[in-house]
Amino acid sequence: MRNKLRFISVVIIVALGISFYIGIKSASPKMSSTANNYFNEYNLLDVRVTSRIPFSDDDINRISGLENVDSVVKSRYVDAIVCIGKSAIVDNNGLEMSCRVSEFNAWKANKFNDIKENDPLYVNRLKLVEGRFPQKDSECVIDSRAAKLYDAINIGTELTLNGDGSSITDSLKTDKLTIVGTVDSPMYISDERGSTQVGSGSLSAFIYVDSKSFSTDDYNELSVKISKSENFNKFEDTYDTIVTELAEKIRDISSDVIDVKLAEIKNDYNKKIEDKEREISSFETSSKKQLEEKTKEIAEFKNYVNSEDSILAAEKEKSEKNKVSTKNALNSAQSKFNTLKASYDANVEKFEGSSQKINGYSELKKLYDDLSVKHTNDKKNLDKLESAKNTAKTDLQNAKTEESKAAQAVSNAESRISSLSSDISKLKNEISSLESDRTSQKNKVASLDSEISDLQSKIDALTVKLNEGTITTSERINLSSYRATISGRRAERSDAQQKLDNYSSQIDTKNSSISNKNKEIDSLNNSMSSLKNAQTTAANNVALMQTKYDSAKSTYDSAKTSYDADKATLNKYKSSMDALTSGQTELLTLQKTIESQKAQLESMKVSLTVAQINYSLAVRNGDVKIQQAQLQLNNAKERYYSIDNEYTELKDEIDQKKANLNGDLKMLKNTLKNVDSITWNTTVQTNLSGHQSFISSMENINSMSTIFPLIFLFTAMVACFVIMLKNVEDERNSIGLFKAFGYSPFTIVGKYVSYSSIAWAFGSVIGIIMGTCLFPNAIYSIYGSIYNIPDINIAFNAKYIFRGLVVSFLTTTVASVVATFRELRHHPAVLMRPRAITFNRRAVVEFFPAVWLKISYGMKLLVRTVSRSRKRVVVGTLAIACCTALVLSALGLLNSTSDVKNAQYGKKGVFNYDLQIVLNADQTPDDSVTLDKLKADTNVDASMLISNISYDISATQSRWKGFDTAHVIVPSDIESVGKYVNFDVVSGSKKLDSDSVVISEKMAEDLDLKVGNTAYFTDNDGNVYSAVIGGIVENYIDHYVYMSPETYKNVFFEEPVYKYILCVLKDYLTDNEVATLSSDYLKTEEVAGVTNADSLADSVDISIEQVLALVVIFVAAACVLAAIVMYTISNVNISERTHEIANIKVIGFSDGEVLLYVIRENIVSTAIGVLIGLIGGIFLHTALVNYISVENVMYGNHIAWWSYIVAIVIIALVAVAAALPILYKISRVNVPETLKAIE
Amino acid sequence: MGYIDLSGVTKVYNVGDTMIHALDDVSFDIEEGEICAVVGPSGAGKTTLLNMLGGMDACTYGHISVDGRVITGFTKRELMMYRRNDVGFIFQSYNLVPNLTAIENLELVATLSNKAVDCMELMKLVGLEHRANLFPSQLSGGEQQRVAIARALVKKPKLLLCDEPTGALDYETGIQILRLIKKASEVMNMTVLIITHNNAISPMADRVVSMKSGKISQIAINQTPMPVERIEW
Repeated sequence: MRNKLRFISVVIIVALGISFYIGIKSASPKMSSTANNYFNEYNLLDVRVTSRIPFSDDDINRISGLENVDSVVKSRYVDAIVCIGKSAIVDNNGLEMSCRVSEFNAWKANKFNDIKENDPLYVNRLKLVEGRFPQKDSECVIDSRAAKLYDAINIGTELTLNGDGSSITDSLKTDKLTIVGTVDSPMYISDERGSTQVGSGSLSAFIYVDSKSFSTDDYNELSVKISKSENFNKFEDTYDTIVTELAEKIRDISSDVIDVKLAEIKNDYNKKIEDKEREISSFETSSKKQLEEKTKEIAEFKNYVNSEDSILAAEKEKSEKNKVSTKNALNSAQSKFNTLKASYDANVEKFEGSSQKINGYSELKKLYDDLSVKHTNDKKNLDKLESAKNTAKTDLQNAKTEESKAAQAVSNAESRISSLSSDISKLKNEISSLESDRTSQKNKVASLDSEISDLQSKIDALTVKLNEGTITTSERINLSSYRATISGRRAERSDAQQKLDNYSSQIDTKNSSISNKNKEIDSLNNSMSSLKNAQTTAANNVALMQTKYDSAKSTYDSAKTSYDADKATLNKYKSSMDALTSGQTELLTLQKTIESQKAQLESMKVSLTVAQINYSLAVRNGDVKIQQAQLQLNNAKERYYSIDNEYTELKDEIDQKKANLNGDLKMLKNTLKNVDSITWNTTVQTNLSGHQSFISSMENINSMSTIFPLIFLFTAMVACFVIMLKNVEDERNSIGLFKAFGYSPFTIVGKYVSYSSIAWAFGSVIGIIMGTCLFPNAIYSIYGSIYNIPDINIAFNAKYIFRGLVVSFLTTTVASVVATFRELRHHPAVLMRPRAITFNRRAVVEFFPAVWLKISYGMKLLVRTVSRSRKRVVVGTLAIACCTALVLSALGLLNSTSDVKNAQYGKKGVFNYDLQIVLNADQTPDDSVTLDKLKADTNVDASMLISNISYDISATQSRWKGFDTAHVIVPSDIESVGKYVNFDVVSGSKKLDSDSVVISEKMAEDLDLKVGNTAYFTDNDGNVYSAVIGGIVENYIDHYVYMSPETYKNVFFEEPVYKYILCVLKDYLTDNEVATLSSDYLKTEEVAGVTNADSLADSVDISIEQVLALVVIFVAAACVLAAIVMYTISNVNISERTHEIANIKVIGFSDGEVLLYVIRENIVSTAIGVLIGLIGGIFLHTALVNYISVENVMYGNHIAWWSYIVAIVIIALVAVAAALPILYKISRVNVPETLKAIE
Repeated sequence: MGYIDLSGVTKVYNVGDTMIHALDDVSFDIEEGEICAVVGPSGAGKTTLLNMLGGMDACTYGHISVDGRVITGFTKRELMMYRRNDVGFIFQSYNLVPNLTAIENLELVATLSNKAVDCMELMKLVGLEHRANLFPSQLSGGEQQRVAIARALVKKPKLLLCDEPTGALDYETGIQILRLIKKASEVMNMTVLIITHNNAISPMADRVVSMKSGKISQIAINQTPMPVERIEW
């Protein structure tokens, strides 16, 4: 399984490498051989000779006699504008269709077409595409491309030919041709059809008619074939040298032959010039006489005008004087009146001012009087108020006295009560002390009573005993003492009783005294309340009185204030009253003065009016007289001017005629000068229109095929080599076994060689098939749409196939042989052990501990992996770099080519105009109806007539060293040309001045023209003109030469032909509106065609797409190769590291982590490869842009930022695509088995 | 139920038409922190047993649980995480990544684990700190095996599986390796399963499982394991 996959990869890689190498390498040789076959089969001329002077038989014989010349065939052609009916056919550039009508032998053509009869004198054979060849004079075949390009051109269409100045029927029997077939010609293999003098200057198609259709005998074209022409490769230098030399020889003959003819022509011209000169001088004398007569007439009228003028002046003077005197009188009257009026006015003003003032005063007086009355009343009122206030004051004082009396009585009563109260409390104290004495006395009495009773009882007892006789002596003594004691005690007791009684009586007296006093207090308290009432009443009275007084006072005060204020006002008014009286007297006097002045003014006015009437009469009379004089003068002048005009007209007419005559003379002289430069024009095959661009296309492919296929093959083969070595290495075990069994080394080698050679053989076969069929056809089909060449023939290109086979053989089969022999050097025992790979090589970074110790573990792993498999990293990097460079350059090309369209036609591009209108006939800026209509159109911003004619531009007098066909643009207004075309100067000046021209960039580069160089302009008749280059401007598509009308006249000796109008439309117009506008103008009689600038832009796309398709092939192949190489090397990597993978899987790595761990080196090589590839891509892109130069288009050279991103994304996808199968393989690794296997 | 519990584990390989019972109804327990030796002749099913325990292979019948988790029911991803975090492997053939230095081999594992031990510390533990920057091919077999042990320990596994760890080593070195394994088991309280056909190793184990033809012939519990130094073969 492992080997099967590897086998397939090898087959694919070999196939890709070989096919790409062979395919690209052999594309250009194949195109060349196909073209050569075509030219040979269709007997294409080797040198074309044309002349304005018809070839004679003698000329043809002289050319036939030259060395190397096989045959010379003479033919006729005429250029014409093609119309259907009366209207010209217009292409999508708005250009009229102009065709070259050439002759051919229809009989021979039919034979060649039917039975391939090879008549060597039937040159430039036609290939019938559709229809049939002509059978009648009025039938023709036409360019098959024209039939595709123009809807109006179909088989059966009748064309009308228009000679554009010369008559077609001079050359052809009829000017009406019916198309009967379409053809291809080997003369025209690209879109280019060459240039012409008719119409726009470039041919749009060719037409062939049978020789019998031509009526003229003037043969103007020779087709020269060299001997053994078919043996030469037309695109090699040998052929080029031979035909170039032949062409030079033919031109040498022409100078001999033509001199004689030229002498005749020169004579003719000289005679013509003499005639012209004579005509001019006679015209000059006649015109002089005419002018003199007119001058005399003018002088007479001038005198008449002068006399009329003096009359007018005198009239004017008189009237002026009269006017001045009356005016003076008027002025003095007026000034007198004015002074009086001023004084009167001043007085009136003064009077009015004063009376106004007095009016003011009288109002004041009324106020004053009113106020006086009020003041007197106020005074009375005030007095009343004052007396009321005083009464209130006395009342108040009385009330206050009564109140103080009442207060006095109350306080007296209160002091009596308080003295009584203190007496009572004193008495009470005495009573309480007496009572305590009494109590103690009572106690004493009681104790004495108890002692007595005690003694009594003892006495009684002892008495009993005594009575009984039982008494003892002691008892007897006791009895006696008792008896004595008791008597003493009884005396004491009575004493105490007495005291007691005494105390009681004292207390009683005191108590009665207290009750008396209390009685008195009660009576006092009774009278006290009445006293207090009296006091309150008095106080209330006082308060009442006070309020009354206060109100009276305030009323008085306010009255007083207003009274005082009135008084002040009155005083103020009093002074004004005095002024009033004096003012009134003054007023009376003023009034009198005014009245007298008024009377004076009236009389003054009358005299003033009289003065005025006098003055106006004087003025009117003067004016009438002046007007009469003026009228007479004007009449005189008018007559004078008309005569003068007549004179100028006459003069202009004469000048114009003179200029015309002189121009004719100059042109004749120039043509005469030019006659010297008339030669035969020779064009070698490789310089035919279209052949040059075919050659450059082949060269483009060739130059691209020098680098890419080699890089590609190299990458593929290195990958193969690595796989082969690995293959053998994996088999070393078996090799050892075979060797141990005793097989000879060659048998063993044979076994492995067969494996690799089978892979090689398969790959080679596929590669050769793809390389010979697929790639060249793909490339050819791209160019095939540009060039009109038969389909490519499949031919093996032995050289490249051989090289490819050798290289691939070396890297597959030989590589495995060498590797097997290398293994076979070892003993079988060594071989049967697994190869001891020791990984103890230190990485370079490790010797820089400063770095090594700092980098992360992931980085370390990366370093280890890369240093482990350097070989694979290099191969991977190479594949990725190759792929990246191709992808980036392809995208870059997309940027550069799409730039072109924008740069030319986009906003801020080279061309600013929106529409180009083609007119039916030449026009001048003054008489163009369409131009006037455009100028009036509000949707049109600007419009201008231009002239646009094609010329071949070259750096030398002959077109030999290469030329470009350019549009010569002559703007009718050089000031405003910047509105239509942006001149971005590359070098020199963009100014269109009278002695230099401005040319476009790409042409300057192509032809190596610099500012200050001379550019040569060749028209189709071979006339050469020259102009100095004043500036080179930016331009991307087509070639242009810009010049002023003046320069055009100086260079081409004729007036520019204005047949085109450029228009700039208003920005706001929509596409639809523009289309409507276009069709509106197209309906106009004058307009032949209207072209939108956008449609011009669209026509550019085709060629760019073709270039892109080529690059897409490259990119696809590169991506496939890169993906397979990446896949294969990772596959090899995995098989080498299965054990390690099992190992880290055991440790616990997930499949994804294992993948990242294993393909680290791929990531590195992808990253490095992308980096290298991007840098390489930039260079590759520059190279591509330089190589792939599609005709007339100049590419920009820049890669957009997104191209880098897209390129990186594509490569990343390729890398991921290559990694996905690896992930699957990792998941399939059987861990236990793998780990067991090692034991 | 033990820390590691196998019950009825059976592995059947289909080789052509015949069925081979690599393991036939194997059941035993291992306690946490124990060293268990599985001994038996070649082809007894020892390695198959180890593959099952290590989550590298699925068993046909029966179930295995480690620390309470039944690994026989694990998905592929769970098995991967189990290998990544819970199991350390030591092989007879070391299986170091050849183009990485010793310390880098350890770091390779450390990048995966979030509880990784400092790699240099482990190199010190196995006594190879001065040889950490050499490639495997520059180390002797014993040194390589010590690196392999260190690598197995980086993630502090619950279970250390050793497949004939001394198989490729001479006696002296073998003893050294065994001592290291024992030490690691003690230091990290790690359960160790050693597979060997060398019966001489069994005295150092706490538990010895003898196998024959895919079946367990005997399970012996060793109450007093012998110090490694005294083992001889």
